[in-house]
Amino acid sequence: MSEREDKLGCRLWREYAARRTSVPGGPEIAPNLLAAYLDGKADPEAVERIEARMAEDPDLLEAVLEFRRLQDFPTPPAPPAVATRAKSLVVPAVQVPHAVIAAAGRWWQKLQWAAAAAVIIVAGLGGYSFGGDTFLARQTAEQRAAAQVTGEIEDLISEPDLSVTGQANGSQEGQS
Amino acid sequence: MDDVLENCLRGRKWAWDAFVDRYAGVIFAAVGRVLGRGRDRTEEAEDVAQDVFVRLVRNDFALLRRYDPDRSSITTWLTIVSRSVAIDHLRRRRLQAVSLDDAPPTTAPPEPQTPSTPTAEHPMELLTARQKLVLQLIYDRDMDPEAVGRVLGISAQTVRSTKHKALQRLREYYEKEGPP
Repeated sequence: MSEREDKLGCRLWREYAARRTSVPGGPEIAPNLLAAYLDGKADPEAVERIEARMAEDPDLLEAVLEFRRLQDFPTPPAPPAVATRAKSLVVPAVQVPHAVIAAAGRWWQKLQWAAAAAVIIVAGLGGYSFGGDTFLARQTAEQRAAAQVTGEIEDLISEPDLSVTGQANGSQEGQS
Repeated sequence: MDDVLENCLRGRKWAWDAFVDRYAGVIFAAVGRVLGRGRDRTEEAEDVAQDVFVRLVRNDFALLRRYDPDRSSITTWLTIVSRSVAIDHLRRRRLQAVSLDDAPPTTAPPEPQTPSTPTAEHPMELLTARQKLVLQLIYDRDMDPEAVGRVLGISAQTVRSTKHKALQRLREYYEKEGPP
């Protein structure tokens, strides 16, 4: 294209651009989609959409231009402080070897069984003890009660004027 | 997925440290380009870079999990994310710089601009998006076809062809409607 034709082309473009009134619309281009475009992996429909937006949105166009400029030069290393601060964001978790976890798991299982057995035994002994006490207590009470009756009978029998017939000697004076 | 990235998402400290070593330069460079040069800008860029890393780690690496390795390289994706964070930072800084005394009086919000509508003088779809971009980069940004091709991911020959077709359309339109 000659210089004259190019100047004319520039005029045509400036005239066209001056009369455009469109504004960027629609949702923001997602980072994944824009990254795909920049890496040449976006599908044709996405390319058309992104370029339509670039044509109307100076910020997006500038972002693309900036990215291309960054690509043209090797990336210098960041200051050491950047890496130091960033690394502090993730702290190491307590790393327990798998063998220890497995062994602990087996011991824990045994401990659980032992605890369960102990509970059963204690409950059994406790129940026996409780029941036994109750039984003994009941037996003692019964014995006492029985002993009391016996004692009363013995007391009755041991009354001086009380014969076997239970009649007292003085009981017929009034009858003559 | 990359072994380092995969273990990063599992919260492995060694993987996170390796990730930082690998990409701190990319993030810092992207942030630095937005904020500009200068000694005070370096410290600011360090803070904004740290903000990028915080956002990547936050909520169990929620942002980093959104990266799709099938669609782009991690370097490209991180550059875009870093740039976005830096621009947000600039916007907040500008808002903070406006004191209450200097703030303009409250006015009604501007009328929403409607997309361009075709008129008798100027049809909207006269040029395709790519044609507009090519002319814009060549005439407004003074870029050569090779540079335009690198921006758009097309060959320089395609750029020249697109430019030719775009100018032809404009020429035909203005010849019909009258010279500009």
